[in-house]
Amino acid sequence: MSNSNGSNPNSRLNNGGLTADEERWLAAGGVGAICGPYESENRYWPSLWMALGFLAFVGFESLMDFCRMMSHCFFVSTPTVATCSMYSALYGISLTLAYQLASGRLEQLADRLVHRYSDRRKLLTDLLVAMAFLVLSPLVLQMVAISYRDPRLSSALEILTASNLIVVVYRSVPWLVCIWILAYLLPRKGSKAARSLQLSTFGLDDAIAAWCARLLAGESVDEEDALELEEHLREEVTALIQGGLLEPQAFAVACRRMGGQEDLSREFAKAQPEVVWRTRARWMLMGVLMMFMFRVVQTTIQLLPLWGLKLGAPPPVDPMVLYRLSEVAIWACGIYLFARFADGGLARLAEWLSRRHGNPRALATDLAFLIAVFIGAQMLWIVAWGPGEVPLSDVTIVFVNKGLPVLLLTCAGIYWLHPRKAQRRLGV
Amino acid sequence: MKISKELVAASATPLVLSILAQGQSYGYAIICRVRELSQGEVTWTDGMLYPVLHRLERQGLIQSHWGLSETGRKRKYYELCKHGVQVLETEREHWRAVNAMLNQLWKEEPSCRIAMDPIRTAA
Repeated sequence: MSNSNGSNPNSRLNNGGLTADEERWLAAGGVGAICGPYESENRYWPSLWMALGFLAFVGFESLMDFCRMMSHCFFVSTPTVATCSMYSALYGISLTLAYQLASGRLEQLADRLVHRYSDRRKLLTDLLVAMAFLVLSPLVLQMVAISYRDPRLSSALEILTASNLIVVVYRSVPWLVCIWILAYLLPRKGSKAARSLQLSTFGLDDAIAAWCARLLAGESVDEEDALELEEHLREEVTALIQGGLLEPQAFAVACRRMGGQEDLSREFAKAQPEVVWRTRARWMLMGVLMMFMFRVVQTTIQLLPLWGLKLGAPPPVDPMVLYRLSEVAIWACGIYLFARFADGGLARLAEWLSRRHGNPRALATDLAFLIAVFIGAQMLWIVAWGPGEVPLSDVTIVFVNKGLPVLLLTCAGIYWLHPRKAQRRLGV
Repeated sequence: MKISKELVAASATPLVLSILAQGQSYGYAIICRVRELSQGEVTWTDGMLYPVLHRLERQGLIQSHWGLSETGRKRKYYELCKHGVQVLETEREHWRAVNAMLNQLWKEEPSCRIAMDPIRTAA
């Protein structure tokens, strides 16, 4: 193992050679420190950013509802004009914010927020406050407006019923889900020990693969960077083995020379902050897109009991109860699936989707499919509920104002932030 | 010898650019060259070279392409761009200026030491 360069043991002239420091480190059991069981970070980042994107979307929707209720309560004369102009203003503001964030101007603010929210309690407090404001304030607003406009409604219960409490309640469900998801994900940071490498069963390729996996678990090192670092590590290991070290020793020394993965990840992030933010923004948009997909599935499934009624099956229970129950059940399934696959499967699915969406034709196909399903679901809705319940014009307004622009913007964003494109734009 | 982080960061750009000025190279070879040049005295954390390379690439000083190594594995090669040559020239002037100043000061080292050491001055 002693393989220093003859006369000068401190020299690190050839790469098979060890410095005195490295020899001391090896003698003190350094191999065990690197090759022994270690904690491995799971790739939870994509899920975290997807949950945040999902939350941003829900927050945006709640803000829209807030504005819509304002317009309904106080500008009764032309609600459509008021609603549309408010929607446009909101889109303008959000687009400006998104552009500022993507071009790196809001980076510092966002970094500060990310730093603040590494404390779970602060994040959850802020989310609860936001939820209280965005979900409950429309309710209060509407109650005030209704009692003001219609003095006949006297009891609180009457006002609550009139102000469509149920809508507000199920608006708050996504918020609660997001809060729960983030609470679930954040403390998982670097928990689970994925695999341990034992000296007796040391395999160089396995060890290197595990090293790369750990590197990729961070959010700033992409596959190309990891491949480059892996090749470097392999060359160093080969040189050290040629210098007379055993495989585990060579691997341990090479890893030590390479530097800690967390430090590496941090340095990579520092070297290319805008790339990191682009990736984060892309994950957030993927979260919104997945939310859309989830909604489409949800709407379609929810309509099934109503369709049962249409086809003449005797109603076992009140269709409204059935409808709400299926909503709760679908949310529960969604939450379970998210929790089950937050660590890997979800990220892989989103990764596959986002890779697919680098191709404009595939993106356009998916977009057309989603829009078709969306319109189809709205039509089913009208058929199931009857045109008297949900006027066609209302559905169209909601779809044109809310569904379509968000969907289009999300897809455009995913395509724009696609890494291949981003690299070309950065001149890499 | 442990060189401060700041100095390593400051000297990384001219070092990498100068090594690449001698022809295209790749990460591991650059690290080996640094070790060789410093006779093992200056120790870089190997992985930290790559963020530096990527930063230089984004600044348009160097460019990269994937090639194959002698053993047939993939390897990313870097080479100097035109802009990089200009920047290297400026860096060289700056470092020469700093080097000249320090050398001048350290030539006067004996007098410096006497002035700093009151006991010896008294003796």
